[in-house]
Amino acid sequence: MNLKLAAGSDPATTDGRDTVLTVTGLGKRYRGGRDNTWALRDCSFTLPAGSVTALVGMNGAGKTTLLSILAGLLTPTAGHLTLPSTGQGGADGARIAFVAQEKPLYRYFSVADMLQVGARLNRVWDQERALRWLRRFDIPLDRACGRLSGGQQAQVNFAIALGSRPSVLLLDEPVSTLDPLARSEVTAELLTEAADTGMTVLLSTHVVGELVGVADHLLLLAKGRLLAAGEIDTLLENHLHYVGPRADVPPGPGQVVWASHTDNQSVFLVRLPETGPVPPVDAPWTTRPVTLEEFVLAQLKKVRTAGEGEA
Amino acid sequence: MNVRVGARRGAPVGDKPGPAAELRSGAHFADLAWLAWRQHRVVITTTVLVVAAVVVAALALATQANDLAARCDQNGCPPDFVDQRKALVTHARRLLLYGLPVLSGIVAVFWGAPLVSREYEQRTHLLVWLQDVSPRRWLVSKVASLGALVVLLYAVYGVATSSLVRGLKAIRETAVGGGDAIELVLQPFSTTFEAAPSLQVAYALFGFALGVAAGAVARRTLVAVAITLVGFAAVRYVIAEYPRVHFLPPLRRTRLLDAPVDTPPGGFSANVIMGGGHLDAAGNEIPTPAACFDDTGAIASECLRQHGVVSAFYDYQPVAREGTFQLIELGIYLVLTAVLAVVAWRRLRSATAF
Repeated sequence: MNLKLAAGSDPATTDGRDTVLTVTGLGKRYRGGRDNTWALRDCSFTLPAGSVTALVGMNGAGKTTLLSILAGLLTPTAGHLTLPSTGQGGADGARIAFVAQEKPLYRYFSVADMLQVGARLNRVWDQERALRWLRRFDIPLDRACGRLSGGQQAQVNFAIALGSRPSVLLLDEPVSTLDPLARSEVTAELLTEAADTGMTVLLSTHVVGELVGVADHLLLLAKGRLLAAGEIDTLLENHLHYVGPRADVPPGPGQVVWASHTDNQSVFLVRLPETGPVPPVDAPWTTRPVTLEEFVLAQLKKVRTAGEGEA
Repeated sequence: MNVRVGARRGAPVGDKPGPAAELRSGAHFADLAWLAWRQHRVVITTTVLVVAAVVVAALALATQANDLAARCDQNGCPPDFVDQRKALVTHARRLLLYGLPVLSGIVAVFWGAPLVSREYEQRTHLLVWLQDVSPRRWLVSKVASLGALVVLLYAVYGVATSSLVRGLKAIRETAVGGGDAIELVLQPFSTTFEAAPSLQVAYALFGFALGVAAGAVARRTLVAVAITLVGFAAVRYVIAEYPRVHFLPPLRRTRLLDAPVDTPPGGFSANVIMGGGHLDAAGNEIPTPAACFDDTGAIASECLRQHGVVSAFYDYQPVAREGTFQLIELGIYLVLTAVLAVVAWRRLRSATAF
């Protein structure tokens, strides 16, 4: 595996935080398939330490492939990923925990047995942290995992992942098996855990609405390619809506990401130029900021229309 | 933010792992052995009980056989000897004939085949291989801990079957009886050959490795079980049927035509007769002339002489070689086991990146 430890280097991100994970030119092509397409191609990004990053994409966009490579389950066809060496491979080094979409557990093990698996197979184990999580969500310790509901099985997976005290927590569709109330509670608790311990979180989802107020960074994936990567606030600040009468071009500067037209109205979502403040637009045109959901949908629609596009 | 979470038990929560967080050098062999036991304890217990029952039965029959043989002296055997011997041989034959191949098959199908395949099938490889233990270390520890149990279990089983074979041989020595299948059971290079503890262990280890490798390749439990079952039965059958009696070139006994037939040590039935024919003056094997068979199927010596035949021979595999052949077969199975273990190990290396 091309897992190189960048000894001595201190890669810093734009917002000044240390990076916990750097991915360069990552690509994955599955052998054997009739279509010789790349499940993942040319992915480069960094994860700042302590950040909560949302990995967004439609089904089949390559989210699970990317997470599997980061977790060490798959070998990338191209590129490599770098973890900074914060220790000599000991407990201080970057430790990655991965909660798979399937929320796998041994069916005949009790919940307590599953915690013992986590305790025995990890260099670091925080039993109290794992137990706290299970108590928080009323998971019976003596019940066989096969007799738990899907949501409860997910909670046991979270407890094992948290108990191993990872520096990076990878979550594949973490809340998909939870009911709406549990979703918001789990999300809030995960954010608390992340904030308390400085843990970096990367979670995948295809439901954009769940991200608001959760993630501070975004990785937007479509057809195996990265459409956008970066801090959500910065991404949104760099984009703008122009709303006005029917027109073919926007009234102000910026590269059009997505435009929608009705008989008497045009809406342009543009990416603003890097330099200079945005000049005010003349009436009847108005501007309004872009929400995360609008940004993601516009990017995805653009890809679907163009066949293949770039951010 | 720590307040709300920590308030529940007043436990210290902060940036660093609290006193509750345990820091260790890593998972020990005992930890993975615990996991193996916890995961497979039902099938382990069942197998131990089945093997124990067969061992007890074999030892009981062996004791009976020795007691029965001891009741004979130079004046002969007691009147009920023949009946008792017949019943005992029937039971012993059944135990050896079915027990020897089936019991090692249990390990192949129920221990080996699901070991890796069920992890893939129930997706638990995503859990267990992503803790601080590499998949290869997981495999080696699990196979080693279960394999040690297999060695122990089947060594005991082999000791019991060997002692039953010795008991049957003691009965045969009495030279009283007949009308039962004792010669069939005690055929050389057959059931008695396989009853050795070393071979019983080797068969079971081979089956176990075959199951693990099949599971690592197929990744589906049912497919792995099918491959293991067919593969184990095929290898055991083929090696027993063909190569076993050819491990070393057979010995040849030659006699001049019309000279009396000399029997091999122990008699014909104690050895394996591989074939026979006729030789010319130079000692070359020549086909028996068809013209020399008379109507009854007998061969006329005079006719043979006219066709240049000087002597007759037969080839046989002496029973004294059983020990050597057992070592050769042991070597073959251990090599097969090692190859399958490497297959499983390599397969698991490619399944994960690090």
